[in-house]
Amino acid sequence: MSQRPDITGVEEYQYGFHDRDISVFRTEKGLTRKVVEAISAMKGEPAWMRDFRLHSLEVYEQKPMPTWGGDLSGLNFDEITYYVRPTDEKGRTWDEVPQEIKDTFEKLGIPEAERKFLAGVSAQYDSEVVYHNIRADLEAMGIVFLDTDSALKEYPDLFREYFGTVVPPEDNKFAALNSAVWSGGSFIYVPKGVEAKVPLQAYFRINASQMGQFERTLIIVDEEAMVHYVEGCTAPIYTESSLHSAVVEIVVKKGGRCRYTTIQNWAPNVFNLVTKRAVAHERATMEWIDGNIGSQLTMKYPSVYMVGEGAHAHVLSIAVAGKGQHQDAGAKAMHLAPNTTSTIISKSISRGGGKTTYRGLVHFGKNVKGSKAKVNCDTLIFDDGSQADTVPTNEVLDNRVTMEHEATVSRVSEEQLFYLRSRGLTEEEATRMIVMGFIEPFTKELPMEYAVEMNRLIKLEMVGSVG
Amino acid sequence: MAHTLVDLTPEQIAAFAANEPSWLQERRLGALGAAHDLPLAHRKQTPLEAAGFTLPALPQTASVTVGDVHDGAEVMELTQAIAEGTADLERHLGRLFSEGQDHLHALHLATFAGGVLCRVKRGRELASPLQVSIGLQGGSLFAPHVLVVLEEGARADLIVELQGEAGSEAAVRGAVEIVLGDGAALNYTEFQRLPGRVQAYWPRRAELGRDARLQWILADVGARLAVSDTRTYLRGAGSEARVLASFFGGRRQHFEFSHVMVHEGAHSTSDIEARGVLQGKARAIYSANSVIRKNAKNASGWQHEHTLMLSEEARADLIPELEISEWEVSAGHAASAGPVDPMQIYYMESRGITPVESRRLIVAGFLASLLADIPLRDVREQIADIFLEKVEL
Amino acid sequence: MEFALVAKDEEVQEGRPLRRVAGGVPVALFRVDGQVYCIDDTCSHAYASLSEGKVHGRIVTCPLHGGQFDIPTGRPVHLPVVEAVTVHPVRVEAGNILVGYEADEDEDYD
Repeated sequence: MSQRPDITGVEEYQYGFHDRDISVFRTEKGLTRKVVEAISAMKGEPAWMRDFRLHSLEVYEQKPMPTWGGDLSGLNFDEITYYVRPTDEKGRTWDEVPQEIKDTFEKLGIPEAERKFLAGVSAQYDSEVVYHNIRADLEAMGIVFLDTDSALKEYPDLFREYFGTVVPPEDNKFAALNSAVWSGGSFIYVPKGVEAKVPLQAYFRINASQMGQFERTLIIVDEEAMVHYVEGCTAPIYTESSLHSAVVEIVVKKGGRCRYTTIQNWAPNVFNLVTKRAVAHERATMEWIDGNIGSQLTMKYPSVYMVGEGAHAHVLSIAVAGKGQHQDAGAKAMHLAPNTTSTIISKSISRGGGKTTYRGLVHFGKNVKGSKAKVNCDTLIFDDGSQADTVPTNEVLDNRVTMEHEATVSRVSEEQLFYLRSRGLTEEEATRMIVMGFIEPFTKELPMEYAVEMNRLIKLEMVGSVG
Repeated sequence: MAHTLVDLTPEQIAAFAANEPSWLQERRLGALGAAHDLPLAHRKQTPLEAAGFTLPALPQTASVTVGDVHDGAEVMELTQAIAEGTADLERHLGRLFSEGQDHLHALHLATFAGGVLCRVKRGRELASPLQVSIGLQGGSLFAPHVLVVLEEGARADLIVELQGEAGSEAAVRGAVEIVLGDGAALNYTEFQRLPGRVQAYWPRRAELGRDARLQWILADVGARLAVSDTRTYLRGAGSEARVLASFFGGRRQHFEFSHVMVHEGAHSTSDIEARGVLQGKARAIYSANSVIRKNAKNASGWQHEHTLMLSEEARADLIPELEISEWEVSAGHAASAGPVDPMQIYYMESRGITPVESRRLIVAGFLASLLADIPLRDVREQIADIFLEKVEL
Repeated sequence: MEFALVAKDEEVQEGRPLRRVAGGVPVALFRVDGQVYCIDDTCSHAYASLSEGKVHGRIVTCPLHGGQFDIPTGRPVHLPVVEAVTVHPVRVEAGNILVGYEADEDEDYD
């Protein structure tokens, strides 16, 4: 038998190198080469992935923290546990869950069984049967939908062909971090011509192995195929980790269509730093529907690189920042081929001292004749102490295009309030109606159950009782 | 990469400023010290390090020609004003550049040579515009300083022309400062028609008192490289600032312009309207920022920027920003860029209008709404003429 | 096209890019398989300096965001860079490296 490798970063290590059934697995706090090796070993990964992780760690260590965007000073990197095996998440008892959170679940109508998971009480949703049925349907169509770890094992060639090609580890410090310690996330492959009629969800948002602080998602939509992927939850996600640093890579091939919907409402201690990027080939369409509520700081700029003629990009995002929160979000539309079009609609709300920043980029390359971009970003700034910034950059290197950009920052219209109140609504109800109208372009694109929850969430937010 | 480039010594500055009052010599020396410590502001797309205005040399004095001056106003060459000990100099000179100062600002304050002082006394309303021409003649580095002070209730129009002798390859490291007292109103028009190989660093600052009004009317067509950031501080309640900026870049010109409005006073309003035309391989980086600070209640800050790109190789970068820290305000911006509409050209050519004339007409149409807002007819016509003349096939 | 003398032949080594300025434009010199190549130093993506990047074979990785260029052609080969960088012709004469650049045309106005 071979010598036991030195994995001193692991608290308890009961079995041999190749046996994945380890009873408790959690790396020591902080990030070192040993921790990264331990993660890769524990997962039983091929050498190339281990090397990729180690290379990414080096990149992460060399890169400086960004000097723009939000305030990252509250993040203590040495206090973070970089890997906890999902089933071993130390849960808490239902009694320990703050009443506020319980009330929120009640008000949002979260199903009983999900509440425990979301509150960190239970590690798994007890509905294996439902999950298996969904999976069987997809398999019949040839669609691959797995957690990323499993995909690496079961589809190694496909995985390796695309992984890291859209977001290299050098892209930014947090992409490098994710590349070193990624775990969980979703892998989707949709074969040529297949249209997934029903949205694929991260196992209805509660599969432990698909959710996590360093999830890595890879979606490949082959020619003329179509998929809608939904993730996230309007309920506040309790997590003991304060850093969520995810990477999402999407490749949409000729004529393909992909829509990726996210609503995230992270707990107020979380730093949510995400790199989301898609490449759209000829006549492909990529849509990002992005809802950012919660977290202490979110930095997220869903991007589309339109590299093929006739590609389209749509980004629809909302950001709501309350007390102590900063949503620094936006979009990037890169026009790199002729006749490509993009629309970016961003709606932000700053209230209770919160701060929203729209940060966007529209780029027209040198040979993109006939391309068009339209950006619309609006912010409602509710009250004293709240802040709103808009930082859009537009780069036009080919004059045979149309670029239009508009933005406004304003308070809730007094005329509208007056009108609604004169019709018998209370100030709170009137405000809520105005806010719902403001974010309507976003909510109308959500799947039904999310839209319902969104309505409830806004109602709660306006009262100020949601964490 | 930020780095300083100063080799000048305090002794050199002292010798350069030997005839000046001690307050000014001290100020220059202080600025030299600051220049040693301050980095060059990093501009990603404009390599300032390679430009001539970072030369650590002592500039020549630009020539200044002043038009007729009427009762109630003083317009004189700056060196003369310093020698005569004109009021307001000590109080205002360089003051508005202390906030957010960078290496080049400090270098300018240490080494400026000549320029213009324009003062209008309390309550005076000038019937006709003041005209100043600043010219670069024979020399490699110029650093003129323009200081304009309007006392309370004063009203004036000032037209400044920047030009130079053909073929000049000089660098310009200048500055403009405008101080408007309560209730004062100024239309500041500037024609930048520097020769085609000149590099110019030309920042502008203004401070507005209560109910003061400032209109910046700017036409930038010259220089190989022009970097200009204009910052207006709307300090007084009810102050108003407006920018009507036009620029036309062609061949290999490189423009980097920014307009920042900083709202501190309640009910202050700002409006930035910029229209740029680009042809050849010209490049323009245009940014604007409406900053509304906390407690600037009911302030309003708006921007409209549109670029007409006449050629495929031109490049425009538009960065309209908003920074809003007060809730009872209104702010917004609109920006667009695009080519000439081919249908329009077709229509005109089918009526026997030549291609160059068609483009001229389109440029004229493009500028029309901006020109309409300019109060002085002569200025309108001059801008139109300059732009139309520059249109190439 | 003008040529500027920017370096000595022996100054450019394999795997060690050199930054110089030619005609006012920052350029990066590389030696790949014995031959000297020259491209714009400024990355087409976010204006970082390519001479500070790592070189593997004929590929240079921009240090800022990891985009990659093919040195001999200047073409982008990996996201997030998507636009080519200008290639400057190289002449080696008597141990000196000369690099070509486009000179400004005469641009005077009145």
